[in-house]
Amino acid sequence: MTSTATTAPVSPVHAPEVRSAAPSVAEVEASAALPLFLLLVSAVKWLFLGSFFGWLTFVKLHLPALLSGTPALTYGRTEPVMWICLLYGFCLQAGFGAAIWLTCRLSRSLLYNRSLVILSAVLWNIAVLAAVIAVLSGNSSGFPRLEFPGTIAPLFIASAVLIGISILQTLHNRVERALYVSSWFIFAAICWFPWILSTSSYFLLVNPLRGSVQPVLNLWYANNLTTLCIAPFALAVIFYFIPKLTERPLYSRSLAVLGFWGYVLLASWGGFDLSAGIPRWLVSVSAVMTIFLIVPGLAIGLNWRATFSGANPRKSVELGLIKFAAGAFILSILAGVLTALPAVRNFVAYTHLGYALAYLGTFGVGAAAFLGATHHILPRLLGEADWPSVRLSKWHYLGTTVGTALIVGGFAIAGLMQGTALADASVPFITSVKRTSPGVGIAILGFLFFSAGQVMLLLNISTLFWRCCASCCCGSGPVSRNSEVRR
Amino acid sequence: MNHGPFLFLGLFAAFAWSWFSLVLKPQKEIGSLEPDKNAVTGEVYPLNRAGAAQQGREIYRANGCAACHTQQVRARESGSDMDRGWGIRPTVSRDFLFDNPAMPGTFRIGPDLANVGDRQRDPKWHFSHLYNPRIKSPGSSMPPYPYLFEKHKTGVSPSPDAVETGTYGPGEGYEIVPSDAARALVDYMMSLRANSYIFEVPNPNPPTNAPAADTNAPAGGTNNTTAPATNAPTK
Repeated sequence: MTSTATTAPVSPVHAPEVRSAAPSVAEVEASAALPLFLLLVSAVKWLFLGSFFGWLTFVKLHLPALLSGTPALTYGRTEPVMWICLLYGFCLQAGFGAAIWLTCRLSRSLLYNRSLVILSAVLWNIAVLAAVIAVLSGNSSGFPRLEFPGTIAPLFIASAVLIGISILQTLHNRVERALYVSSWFIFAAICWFPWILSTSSYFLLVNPLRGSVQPVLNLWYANNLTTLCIAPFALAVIFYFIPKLTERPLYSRSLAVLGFWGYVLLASWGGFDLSAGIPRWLVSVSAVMTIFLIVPGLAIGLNWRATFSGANPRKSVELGLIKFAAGAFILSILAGVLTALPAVRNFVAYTHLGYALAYLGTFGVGAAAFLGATHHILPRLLGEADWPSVRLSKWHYLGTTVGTALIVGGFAIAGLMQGTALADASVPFITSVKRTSPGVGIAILGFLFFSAGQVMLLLNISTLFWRCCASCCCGSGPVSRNSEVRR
Repeated sequence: MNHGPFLFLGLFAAFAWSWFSLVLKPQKEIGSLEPDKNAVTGEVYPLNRAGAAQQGREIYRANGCAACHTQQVRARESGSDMDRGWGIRPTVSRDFLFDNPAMPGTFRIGPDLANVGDRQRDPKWHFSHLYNPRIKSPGSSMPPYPYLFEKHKTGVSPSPDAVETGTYGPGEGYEIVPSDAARALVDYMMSLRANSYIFEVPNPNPPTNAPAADTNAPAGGTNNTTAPATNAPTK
């Protein structure tokens, strides 16, 4: 395997010479500043709310009577609300934000249709809020990961399409014609999300298929939402920031091509791990495809590893978060392969291990990558070299990573304990539930850490904005104020 | 990989491959299933749920019961579900034929409910359990649903619908009665009886034609073949 990175047309490290007419980095970032503030700051708020709902939901497993007199706060409503906040409020929204910034930077192009993106960001947040209110008031659709009523789906689709058009226009008008790996993944995610949401919402919410086939479509949507909408955004971020922060070119573009197409072709087939009520061939084919996913997973992981190898990057919070996200992605591929094996799948089916895998993807891959990007992007957009409080930044990093590790580890322990009890028919069911208590307790602690970490970030963001406003009131522009900003 | 149209075509092909294989093909296979008529007993399964049970399914959906309860029994080689008495046969696609939404669930923080109407036939048990699960299942982590019940002053004589509340009672002079929502929900739960052998999962021990008295052996050994229409609500 030879390194082709030096000949790679575009790399975050070795940006090519651009035409003199090309806008400067400051101009490029300024063109996207307002939409990015809206998307990224709203996303962090939803992340905090989602992790709080996560804490509340799982505390109820230890204290079932807590708030039981309030219908809106019963377990069966707070659990889907948590996923709406985390997946739609945070992951997708932050993913769009990161994608816009990456596209502008890699294309060296001003953001096209800025006002449409602002409108889309507002629409998206209205849609998330409407979905949360709908579920809390008992109007859930009953389909996991697609819990909102059919009337809200068009809002999500319209916002995603408008943002997608803006990204594509920006990409189309790029100064450097070559596309970097991150752009491929962004392209995949912005196409895939409207495709799967429109088809699933139409056939499940608007004009429902017969009940016999609904679980199949629901599983297909839930899997595609995480693996081919959220994960590609996270991969785009990781592929950009590893070379950028290590100041080394990406090791191999060929490996990246293998990883990209292998992942796109295979990842869509996973997720059919229920053992009853759906055609058996679907379960088998899905398991085989998930096992094959180890090939693109290794191609991606080895590429990152080789890029890191020998590098001595400056330690920073964003590097820590990106490394965490990269490790979590490889771990999630390996865990997926392991749980696709029939013996393991039957053992852990319907247990809390499902939550462990879900949080490994949502927090470990998604949140870590997008928070790493947010950490890098926001101060620069406001012309600051770094965050107002380095200590708050470090606490945010610790809260996010330690919280995620506790949540994933806690649910994994709970799932294995539960699986052991469920496998033995002589063990009463209630025993299997009681055995999850220690693991769920660890996860609850993790949610506390995670939520606290996001409070630190929100405090830092508030101070950043306050400083910016104070500075603007004194008469200097936001972008050119600090000449020390490390681009 | 530097040309947008090439990338788009590749992605569209990947999406189409996934959509045709994982959405369209299953729709062709099981999307137009019809109820199965047993050739021996003439029993038709599944029947659409009665109106009250359909209303109860809406309560089940609105309160997110599927977040903790599955409605899918696995075959013996896949798990201990049947050994636990959760069903006499594995769940199949046809079981969800008339459900909208179909809610098979993904987690078992509570037990499977595919056959709860057959396992627990006493509606009063369900009312007590919904009012506060710990009345009937000490140590349960299921939340109480007091908002599905009404607190009334006890009249001259207690209401025949008064719920058994154990140590979780409303206090002297009061009684708890189920609301319409709770009655509908229990109707739905009583209608959960996926216990008919059908084409996909035939009876492994079919009843013989010989009279039971001659053979001195139980015929069939299960309650399915003589069961009434399985989705009828039990009042």
